[in-house]
Amino acid sequence: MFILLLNSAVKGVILSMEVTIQLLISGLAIGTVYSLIALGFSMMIRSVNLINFAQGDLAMIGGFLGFTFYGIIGLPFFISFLLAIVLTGGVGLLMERFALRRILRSRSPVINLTIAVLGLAFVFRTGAILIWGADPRAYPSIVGDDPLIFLGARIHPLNLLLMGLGLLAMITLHLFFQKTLTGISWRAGSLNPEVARLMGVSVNRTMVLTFALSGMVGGAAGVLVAALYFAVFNMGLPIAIKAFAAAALGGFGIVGTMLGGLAIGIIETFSVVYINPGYRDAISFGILILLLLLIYKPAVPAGRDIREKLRAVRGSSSYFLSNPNFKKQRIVLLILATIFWFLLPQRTDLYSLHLLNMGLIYSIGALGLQLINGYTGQISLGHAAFFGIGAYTSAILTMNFGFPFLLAILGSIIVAGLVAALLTPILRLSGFFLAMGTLALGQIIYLFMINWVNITRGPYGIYGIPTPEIGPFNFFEFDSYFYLLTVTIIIQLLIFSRLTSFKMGRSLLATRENERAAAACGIDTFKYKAIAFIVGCGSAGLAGAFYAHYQSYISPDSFTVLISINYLIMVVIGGLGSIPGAIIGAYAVVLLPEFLRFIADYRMIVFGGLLVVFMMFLPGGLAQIGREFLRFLERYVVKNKAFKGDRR
Amino acid sequence: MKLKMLGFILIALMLVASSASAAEIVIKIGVVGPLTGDFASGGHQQLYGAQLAAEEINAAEAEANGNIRIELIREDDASIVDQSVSATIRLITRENIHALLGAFNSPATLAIVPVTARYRVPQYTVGVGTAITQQNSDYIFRMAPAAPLFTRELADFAVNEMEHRQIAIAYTQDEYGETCANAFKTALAEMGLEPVMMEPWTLGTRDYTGLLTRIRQTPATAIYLTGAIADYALIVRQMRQFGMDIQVLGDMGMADPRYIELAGSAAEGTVVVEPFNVDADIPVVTEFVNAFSDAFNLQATSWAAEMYDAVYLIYQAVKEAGDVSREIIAEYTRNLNEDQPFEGVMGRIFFDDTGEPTYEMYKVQVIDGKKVIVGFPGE
Repeated sequence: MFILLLNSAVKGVILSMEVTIQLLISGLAIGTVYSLIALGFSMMIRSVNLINFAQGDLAMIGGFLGFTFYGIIGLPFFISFLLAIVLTGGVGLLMERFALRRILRSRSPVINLTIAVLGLAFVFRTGAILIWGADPRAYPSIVGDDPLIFLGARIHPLNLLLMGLGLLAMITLHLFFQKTLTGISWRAGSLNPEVARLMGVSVNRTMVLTFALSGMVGGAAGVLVAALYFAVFNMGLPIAIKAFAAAALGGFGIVGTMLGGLAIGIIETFSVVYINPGYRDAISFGILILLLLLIYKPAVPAGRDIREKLRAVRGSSSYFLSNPNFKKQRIVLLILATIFWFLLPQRTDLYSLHLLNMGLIYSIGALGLQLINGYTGQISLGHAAFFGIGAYTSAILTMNFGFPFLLAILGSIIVAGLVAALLTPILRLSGFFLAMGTLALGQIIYLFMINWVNITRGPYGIYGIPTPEIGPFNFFEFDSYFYLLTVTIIIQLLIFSRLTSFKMGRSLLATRENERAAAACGIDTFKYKAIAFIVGCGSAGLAGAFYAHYQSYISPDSFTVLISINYLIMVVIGGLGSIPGAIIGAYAVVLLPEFLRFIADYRMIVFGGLLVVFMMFLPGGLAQIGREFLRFLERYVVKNKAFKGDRR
Repeated sequence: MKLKMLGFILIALMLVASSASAAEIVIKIGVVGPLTGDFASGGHQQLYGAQLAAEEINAAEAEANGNIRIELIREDDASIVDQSVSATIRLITRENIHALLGAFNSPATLAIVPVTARYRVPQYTVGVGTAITQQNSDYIFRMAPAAPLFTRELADFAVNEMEHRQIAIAYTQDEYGETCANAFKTALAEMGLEPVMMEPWTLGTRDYTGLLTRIRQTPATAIYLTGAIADYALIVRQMRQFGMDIQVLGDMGMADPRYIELAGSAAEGTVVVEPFNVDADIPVVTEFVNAFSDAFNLQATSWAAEMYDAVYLIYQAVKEAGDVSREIIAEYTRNLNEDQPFEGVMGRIFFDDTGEPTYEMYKVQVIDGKKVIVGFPGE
């Protein structure tokens, strides 16, 4: 792989003065945009501890508002710029007031907030299509197209104008933080909320201000980037990923973030000249990971803030499931459930059966992430990459090397697990740094899937992957695949229940709850984090293998960062730290968009809205409903049997 | 007494209903494509094309007291492979469609080819990916020209008519871009030429200074850009800002009227190939283009035209057979040949054994912000 990179690097060229200046200006222009969006990330992370996935979409809204004022209504550009900033700030305020405040107040884990924000991002994106259409929209010319000649370099005046506006916005923000009382109290609130509160800083006001400000910088960045390029509904995510990297590079400080954005802009512009553009992002992300690991070594201990309520579940949550007095009822329930599950394929049509199968495949992967995220509290945004590694491994082993199915899926688990094992140094990071690191890893692995054409066939993907055969059985039919998946997931559940109980399970949970305390108790926290990561990624590999043989066609498209995000949604809306929760979550993510088909264009708006609502009212995830139901059952049985056991 | 009356009315109603339904043939056509997500605008084009045809046919049938009715069932896949597969299975097993239009993106199309083959449902697609027709399915028909076909005409025009020898290739790093770029390279090789540079860019890149700098290091006099429309519109704009005077070549993606809108004056001089041209002086084409812009306030693209033809083709199959089934439609489509083609907006349509069509291309140049035909099909 790395030979491939080196090969491309040889293509290097020597740059003349004028080209260097041109590259520098372009790098700075795009860098300004990264800086502004990154500022939104930094502010949010510092004051609310939230990775705001909607930051890029706020920029998109700003871009379209600017287009509406300047391109459609015909206001002067500067006025449109200001109006867009103010209105996008307003969107930020509304986000806080109507969706996130309740979640913030309920002191749920921060990841819940993250998922709610993701839901809002879906709403914004789909809303933009409904309002402004799906086509990119170009701003009318602002300063004409005649280039300025500077030291032989041709520089577009728009680049300079926008860079100026961007810098102006950043300086204003900097002065606001340094010179105004509101700004200073915001900084105090973000440094130490408790002490700041004692000094009379309203935490609420800090929150509101954070959302308004990040909306405003997002709006500013949006107008700049849309004026330079286009306004389009999906422009947010690619820019946001880079901007997040910039924020992490700058250590999430205000000035650091500004410089981080400019640095990323310049690095990526210059790297294209020397390196195959296909790997451009790999370079930016690779550098980022190295910097994170080597220079910053940011040491945010894993584990939750003591102020967060304990929402995640411990072991068997319900009395009903563990009390020996209920053994008979449990067995009856288990048998009924088994019969129901195995008769299901006879009672459903093919479409439902297909969805059941997809749900099972994603459940296998989600269980893996549950171990990583729910049990050791490490946020992984690269899960889809391991899902993909498993898919490619199994496809290649069966098709090119004639491996039988069982050996091939074993190979998938091993390869995915091995790659994860090689990457465990990244676990030295934690919190949002780890989220960034795994996101970058996922992107790099994705880029290898696209570029390593000899092995993966690149963007073409691999088609004609055979259906599994084990001995005389062929699993071509949906119902047979259903049974195959069911047996697999039962085996996986048995292994996981071993892993998550006894000493191992307790150590995992201790690591999640408070890494320092766990280490003080003699638990090798890194070892447990690594085990969870390797097993979790191996499960993703297994899921990938089943995915490949089921769909019979795979391409890098199926393993993008969006799928990683989907996995995270599954685990969180299912219920962090709950094994059944992972399965429920997987089904929710697979089934909801399908159930919502009848509302056509509004589908993703409702899906996003539901994510927000779940997080607002079900902080423990959907598993909470099941838990309440079991408790109800338990009360019912106790009442009817006049049973008086000890209640824990 | 009252009950008896009610009974009569019910029986009468049922008789009326059954006699009507016995005579009526309903063709159920599923349309899978992105109505949300990254490729939503293309997905809407293909849906609108199919919709226009269905409305016209239904109106004409109603007027002529005919008994055929087309029912379109649209499904959004947000250009996500999993969703395309689920939507297709839903359409086939639950809605019992007779034919499927879609998907729009090549990867999504590749993923559903095994599904339509499994349930023997004729599938018509606008995807250009070469592999689409190479999965041994008898039920896949490509309505669009395949990549080798149009890149050969483009390369031929660029080299022999415009006399460019130093041609660079740049493409979006996805299935579409890679397919077209490789096909173009092969086409050049057939003429004994080699591209002076061949490089991908990541979908959604916004600043192309780096790529352009590399192009300037080569002796290229022309460049073939292919992939995502917003991307190469930006490349062309930034190329002009750098004062680079290089002939831009493109395919059907660039023939989309939005390209000129997005690239503005930078689009001037661009040469593209397309199997369908809105200005072609052919009555059916003019009629279609006008009806399309009246109905949707949009200029029709070749995607819309291809799906418009697909619906008419299916209708023709059912009308000739006087009955509807998946096999009737598939068989009719397979039996089209050079002597007995389907005549549509796209011209004469017939498919080879793999489901590949044969088209000849218009060569079109952007002059004064308008597309002007500089080479007619077959020239």
